[in-house]
Amino acid sequence: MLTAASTQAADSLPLKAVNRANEVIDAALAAYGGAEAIANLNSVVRKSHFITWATNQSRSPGAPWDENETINFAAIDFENKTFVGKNEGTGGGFNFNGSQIIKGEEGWQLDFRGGSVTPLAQPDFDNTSGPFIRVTAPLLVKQLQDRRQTSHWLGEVEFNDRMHDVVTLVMEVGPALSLYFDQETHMLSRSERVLPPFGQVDYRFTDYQTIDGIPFSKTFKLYVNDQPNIFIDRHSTWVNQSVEQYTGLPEDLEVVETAPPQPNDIELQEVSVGVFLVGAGGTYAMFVEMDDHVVAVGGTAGIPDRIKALREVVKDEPIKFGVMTHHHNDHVLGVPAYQGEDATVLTVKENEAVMRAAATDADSLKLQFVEDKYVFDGGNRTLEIIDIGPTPHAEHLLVGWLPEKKYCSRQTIFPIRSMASCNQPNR
Amino acid sequence: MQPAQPVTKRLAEAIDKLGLNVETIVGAHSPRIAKIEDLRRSLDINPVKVAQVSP
Repeated sequence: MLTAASTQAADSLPLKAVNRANEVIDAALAAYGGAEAIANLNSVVRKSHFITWATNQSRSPGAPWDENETINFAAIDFENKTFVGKNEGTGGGFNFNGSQIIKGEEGWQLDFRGGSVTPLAQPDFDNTSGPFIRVTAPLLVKQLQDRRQTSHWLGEVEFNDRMHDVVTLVMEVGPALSLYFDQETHMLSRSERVLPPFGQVDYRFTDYQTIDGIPFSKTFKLYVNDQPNIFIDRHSTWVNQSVEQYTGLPEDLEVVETAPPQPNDIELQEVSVGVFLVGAGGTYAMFVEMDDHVVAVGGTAGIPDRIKALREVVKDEPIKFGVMTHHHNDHVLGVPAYQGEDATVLTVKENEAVMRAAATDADSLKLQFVEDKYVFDGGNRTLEIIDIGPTPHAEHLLVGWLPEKKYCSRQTIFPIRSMASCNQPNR
Repeated sequence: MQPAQPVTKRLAEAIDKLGLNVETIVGAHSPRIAKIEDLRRSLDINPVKVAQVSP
């Protein structure tokens, strides 16, 4: 009976997947300088040049996407749970020059442009260092070594005319990765993961160079849904050196208090009489009561929940219009919700295809195009939708302007984003 | 208060060009209700230069 059970177990698909994964991992460890070298790989410091593409986030809708450059510096020390990540560059109408330092239980956000340093409320080594590990092949192999019990062999596939074994890796945080190892060289060529709502994220490791006996890919490419997103050229790599020197806080930075975290529960603020700012977690929409209906401005994530919160105070008036400030993919998520309310979506003619693509039913989406300005006159209130484009963020950018000359003295404008936020490459 | 970003400068230019007598500014990514004075102040701040340690 025992023999029969063992035979069954040996033949089972999960056990085969685990055993084959272990063979692939062992071969990879040998190719990356040996199990001992990878086990002893405690620190990596890299200086790199990034080219990023603003996929669905460019100034104009559709490809070719805007190309931006970033100088990146990263240092990781596993034993001391230390990570330093620094990015300096431009993109989307924002200049950024900042750093994040995690040192054990402590952490800081450094803003070199603004001259400030902010203690992190909840420093998280795994979360913060994850993007660097995912783009550094030997560190992925080290993860496989440490977490081989989570790994399964998925199968073998041809990639770049060469056969590859594909094994899974579950890191401490984030969706599982599928790693492609060349069956001859046992080097990592590619990894993939599915990252909602972005889709398929595809990492390519190329141009290997050996540093202190460990092969590192000098160049790296990341695609999102088959479109180029980030190309990295590694200028310098150092291994197993102290990273302590990079964790100091410049004395000329002003220490500022940690900003309170954005609320997770939806909040409704009445900015002015009948004007509501509703949202949570970094996505907000403005709702303006007109005579017998509501105009919504903004289409970021969670519009159905924001409409639900609005209905607590504005019970019956229908939302007749939904204004899409611009065409970026995180600002058109509300189109189906407004279509579900039978509202007309306001945009510019140039963004029609993006709006229809975002709709539940492209053909039946009701659109009103704004040419420079569109005015809602609701008797006691005027709401002007003004295109302030071209801007460095989007060619056309609609803002809501409430002069309220007939009603009250407060004057409100609804722009695209808060003044202090910035874009960072998405990895 | 941070130095104004290029996109913020563009908003300020549009407000001035259109002659809008703005008092309050709200955004799509923050619950903060800002005053026009906040915008003006950010325009007056220059990015700083700080010595940084990296190879």
